[in-house]
Amino acid sequence: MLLLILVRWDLEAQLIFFAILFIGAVSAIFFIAYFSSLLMQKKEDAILEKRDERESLLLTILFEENSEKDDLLVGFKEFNIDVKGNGLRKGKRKMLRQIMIDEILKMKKNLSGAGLEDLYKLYEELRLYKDSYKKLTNNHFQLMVMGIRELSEMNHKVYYRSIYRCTNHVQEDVRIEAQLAIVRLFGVKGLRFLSRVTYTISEWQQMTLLYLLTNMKNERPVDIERWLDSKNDSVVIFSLRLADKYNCFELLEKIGHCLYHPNETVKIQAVLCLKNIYNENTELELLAYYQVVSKRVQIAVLEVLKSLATQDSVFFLYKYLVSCELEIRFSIVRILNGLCEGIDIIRAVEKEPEIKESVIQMLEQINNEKLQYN
Amino acid sequence: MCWELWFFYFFTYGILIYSIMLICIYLLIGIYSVYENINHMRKHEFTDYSMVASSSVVPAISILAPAYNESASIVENVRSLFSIYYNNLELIVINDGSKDDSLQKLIDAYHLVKVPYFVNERIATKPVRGVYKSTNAAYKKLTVVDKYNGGKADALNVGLNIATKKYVTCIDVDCVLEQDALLRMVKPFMSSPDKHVIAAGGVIRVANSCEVRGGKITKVHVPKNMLARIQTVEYIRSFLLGRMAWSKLNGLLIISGAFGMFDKEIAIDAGGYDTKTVGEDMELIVRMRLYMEDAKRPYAVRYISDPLCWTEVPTSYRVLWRQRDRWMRGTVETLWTHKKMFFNRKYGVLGLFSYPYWVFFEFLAPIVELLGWVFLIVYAVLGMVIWKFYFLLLIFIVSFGYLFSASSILIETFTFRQYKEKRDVLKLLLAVLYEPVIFHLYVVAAAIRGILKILLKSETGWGEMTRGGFAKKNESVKSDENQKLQTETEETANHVKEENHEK
Repeated sequence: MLLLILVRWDLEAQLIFFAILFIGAVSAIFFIAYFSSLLMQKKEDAILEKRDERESLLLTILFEENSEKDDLLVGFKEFNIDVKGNGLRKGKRKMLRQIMIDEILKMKKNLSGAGLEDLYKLYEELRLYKDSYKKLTNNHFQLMVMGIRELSEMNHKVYYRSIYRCTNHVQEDVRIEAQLAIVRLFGVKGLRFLSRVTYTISEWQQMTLLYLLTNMKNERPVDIERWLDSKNDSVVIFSLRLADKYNCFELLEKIGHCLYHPNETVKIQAVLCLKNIYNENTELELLAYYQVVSKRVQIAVLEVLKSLATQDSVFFLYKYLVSCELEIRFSIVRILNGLCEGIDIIRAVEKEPEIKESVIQMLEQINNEKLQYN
Repeated sequence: MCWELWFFYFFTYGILIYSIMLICIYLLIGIYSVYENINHMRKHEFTDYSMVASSSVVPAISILAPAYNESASIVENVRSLFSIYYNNLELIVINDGSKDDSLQKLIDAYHLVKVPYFVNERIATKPVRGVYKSTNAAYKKLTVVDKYNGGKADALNVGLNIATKKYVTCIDVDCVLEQDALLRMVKPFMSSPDKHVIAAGGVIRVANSCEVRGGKITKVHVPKNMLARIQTVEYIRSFLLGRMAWSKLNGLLIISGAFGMFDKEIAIDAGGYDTKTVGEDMELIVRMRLYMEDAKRPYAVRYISDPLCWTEVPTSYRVLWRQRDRWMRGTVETLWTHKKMFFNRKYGVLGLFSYPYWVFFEFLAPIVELLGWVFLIVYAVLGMVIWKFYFLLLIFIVSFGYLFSASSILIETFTFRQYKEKRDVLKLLLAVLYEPVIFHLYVVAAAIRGILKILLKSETGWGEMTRGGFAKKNESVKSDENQKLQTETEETANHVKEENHEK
């Protein structure tokens, strides 16, 4: 309709119309920008006030050492019931309960022992898990993530099936959070999701999972051997990391198979695993392996040989000292320096003045590093 | 139709069509950027960076910080880099043949001694005079390299040669980083299983007038200086309404030289920084991308929309002029060097969208604007201008500029909310109004000068922009008087430096 009217106008009128429209839009954006900043500030202040209020109440409940503690807890629960019963708008009630959950989660980071148990108890008694579960069953990924995190952080295991189902969710964020949650809830046992996950587990996720496991009881995952055969390469890489972390010596043969995996990253991870998990043949096997792999894998092999190499490696390493790139040569010199006299290494490259010069510099640096902070 | 009329129509409608295209492209990119920024915020809202910060499993990073005549602030700046929240890093400061006592100050402050060091020169650079390490174990992460002067790119290449870690972060030594900046920056490298992330960049924010304590931004203020304030708007607009879209399209051609992270091996294999250009940051990204494209390896350049790095912007028109002139020269040099990408289907998004965008809307924009002004004057003299239409169109263009800038402030208010004080948003909105009046014309003029320099081959050096540094004002908010003094110091220092430093 507007278009029809506009078409009938002459160009000048059309331009004036659009100019007015543009100026109007600019003014509107200016006003919206300014007033929304004011409004948001106001809203932030209000939320902050509520947070402070809840935080102080929580602190009183959790750390009050007198007999009034239980009364306060009852009162606090009633306060919530009151909030519900007083006919407050659903939105506001929801917001207040969310603030409560946020405060509990925030406080959880600084608590342990009895205090933490009280906090879990409070979460249960106020039925805040219902709010979290509602989020978990929502279709919006952000809410699902929030729900999963809240339930797992508060150690609420009742809905673990729903969380477990999400460990192979099509939405990456949900999947990531569910995997972390299940490990948070069940420790190494939670890693069973590795048997069903079909999506790639990113390096970041692997790092986060390993970090979570570091802070848990030192149980060993039982299925690593099976996961090492996974068709999902990222599961194999993660399993190798797990094998390394938990010193699974019984998996040495399996790790050896991974050295010949088609994926280069798997190969590298398998090599690095051998730094901790090895037997008397590993060194020689690695020396043989070195000759048939790419430069990236070779660098990993040398990294492992830094701690594994014995006199058996010396002849082999001398052989490669002359023919390799500077970066690899540096690693070889570093290994050799731990096995024989510097002068012998220099003698080995006597006939190549350029290489000799670089080897001398490398030796000087390596020896200085040893002295520097000792 | 006579040729004069052809000429008239060609330029009048040519410029009009160009302007309409420019507006449409800006709008499309802006809208897409906002959408992606909001998505990014939602996705990363739950990432707990503090959890892995202290972890030993985080990937190793080398920070490369080139320094040239930074004596006034070098010690404090390095100290602020030590406060970065990251477990597995080495800090390499490259003294690019400073003529002042920068090196000595570092030696004294951090108990440095010259050590034998093997430099694997995978990229050819100016000779290294010496490598210094601290005798104090508290500073064992620090390596100071002293080299002959060769410019910023050369210094960074030395850093790449010396770095021992998998990822390198190149920063301006006087930047202030957010505590978790490295964690946020390293995440994209580890979160893209299908594509090899070769570089990542973050948002640079303006630090003028902000409170800096112990190497950290403690309170964010809108700059007191109007020029810096306008640049604040410009930075917000550029980062919020531009880069995210290009990142999502995998067409990002630039990572700010002030703070960027790279895969070291790819950066070296691609040849390192080009010492012959003044736009070495953009050039390296383009070359790394070409390297990956030619190798047919799936890759990505990522951008993180969180504010990660704070830097000072010029507070005097003279320094701003040099900076913008240099930026344009860098753009032209990079585009010219890699001209084979222009509408080359082989390079996909890069060749069909990113590169042409930079040619048409970054490089040509000031030229078209200049032509617009020239023809306006000519037509006015010849009495060919219909002033009513002219003013109406002018209202359109200026309003669009206002609309775009004000929208970026609005988006900032709803997303990152860095400026929390009531009057800050108002100040920024006023700066939006002021921008087209002088600032824009000045920046266009500086860009034109840059293009002329390239055409006339009158200047090829870096002509670096040096700041006063945070050190002097590290413990307090900079006063206006200090700012004035700093501006004067900057100007004098720049003058001396440009004479000495240019190659």
